[in-house]
Amino acid sequence: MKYIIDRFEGDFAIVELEDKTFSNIPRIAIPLEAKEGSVIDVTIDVASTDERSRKINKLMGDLFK
Amino acid sequence: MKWYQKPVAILIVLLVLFPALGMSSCNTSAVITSSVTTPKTTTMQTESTTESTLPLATEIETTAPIETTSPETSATTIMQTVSGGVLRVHYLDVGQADSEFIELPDGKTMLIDAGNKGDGSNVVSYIKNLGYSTIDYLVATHPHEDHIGGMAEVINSFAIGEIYMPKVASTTQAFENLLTTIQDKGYSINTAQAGVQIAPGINILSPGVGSDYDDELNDWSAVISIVYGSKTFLFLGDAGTAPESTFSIDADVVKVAHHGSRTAFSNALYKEWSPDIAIISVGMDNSYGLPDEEVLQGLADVGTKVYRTDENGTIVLESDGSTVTLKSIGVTISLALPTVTTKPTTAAPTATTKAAETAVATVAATTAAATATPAQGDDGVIVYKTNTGSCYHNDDCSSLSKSKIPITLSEAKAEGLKPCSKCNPPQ
Repeated sequence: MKYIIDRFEGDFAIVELEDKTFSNIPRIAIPLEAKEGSVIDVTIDVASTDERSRKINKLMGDLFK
Repeated sequence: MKWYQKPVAILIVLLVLFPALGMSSCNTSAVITSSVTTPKTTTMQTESTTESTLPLATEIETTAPIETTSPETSATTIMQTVSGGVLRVHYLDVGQADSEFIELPDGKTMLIDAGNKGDGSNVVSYIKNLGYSTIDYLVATHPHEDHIGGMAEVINSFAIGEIYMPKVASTTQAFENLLTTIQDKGYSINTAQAGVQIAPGINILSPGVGSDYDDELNDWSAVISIVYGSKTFLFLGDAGTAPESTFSIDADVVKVAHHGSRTAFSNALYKEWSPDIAIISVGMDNSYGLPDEEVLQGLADVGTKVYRTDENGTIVLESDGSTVTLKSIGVTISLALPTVTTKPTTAAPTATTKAAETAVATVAATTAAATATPAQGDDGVIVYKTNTGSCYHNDDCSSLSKSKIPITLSEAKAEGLKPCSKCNPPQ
């Protein structure tokens, strides 16, 4: 999934979504080096997701009686 | 002395003077120069006399509100006033976006920006309700979606004359869609840059030729001045203080840059421009905290009257070339503009004062003229809308318990609101 940064206003980047609608995204939620016109590629990091899932599950396994 | 003796005599005088002067000055070329310049001096005197016999032309030049740096723009900065001619500027309420529709005194039309994509149909219907099918001059100040989003729909709905845009790109689909629409229609684009004259009295002041604002699209904004008689309307797009300080102007009405953002505001510049009226195009309760408080304070410090599209809705100003009057939600308010005190360069202060005093009469005349155009006939009829609803209502309708916003019938129609089925308001 990709979206395009149209402009920055205050603490937000206004991005154009794939369905051509526009939405606010907090500026801190996009890479610092992103500029107006930058195309942001949103992907799911499967490896990191699995790793975090294992870690949390292990923590829960230790805590639940 | 006979005719052939005259030059001889001069020669003799020169021959006598030459060594004499040569002694007093060690630079002989200076002597030659001075002897040669004698007839030239006469010519120069004649020229300066010619100049002084044309004080009017000189005055027009020097009192023209625009004092741009490029000479080609200063020559035809003024749109001559036409008897009964009215310049009417509609600052459209397009939420957190920008769009200004201008009815020129010669009957031509101009649109600067067209709001967000979702505003396109509203902008189109508003202009169509005024009875127009052509937009003679279309300006996209810069490629941000809140300025060009609705423009493709405008181009698809009207016959377009000339299109002006700064030569700067955005990668969005919205901008691509605008370009392909222009392409499909077979139009081409004029580069908006300082020195370009759109029509007599309508000039582009920024971006300057050769300026490079890199990826700061706001700063690439086409800045436009419209000078009608002695009144100047300035449209800043989203230009920041860097481009704003590249031109010099004495403005009466300013469309504040970038929705009232502090990054586009300079106290010093506004003191120089000394506008009587400032318009801020801004969305109600927007997420960006616009307009910035210091901008409002700065405008108050300069003594500028502020109108905002979030509070006042669509704002319509009119000028006959000597006064500016406000016409909003159907109520025409005469503004006694403090032109004389704040404008040191005003051409005829007495005439301006007189005009300001008779502004009420002018308003009556312009209102009468306005009723001649379609849809303006409903301007005297006030109906009410709500914050969210799609209908308009009578004063006493039960649907108005949560919010009740006065609006003229024509504006209600222009916004696409339908008459409420419960209270049956005027149609």
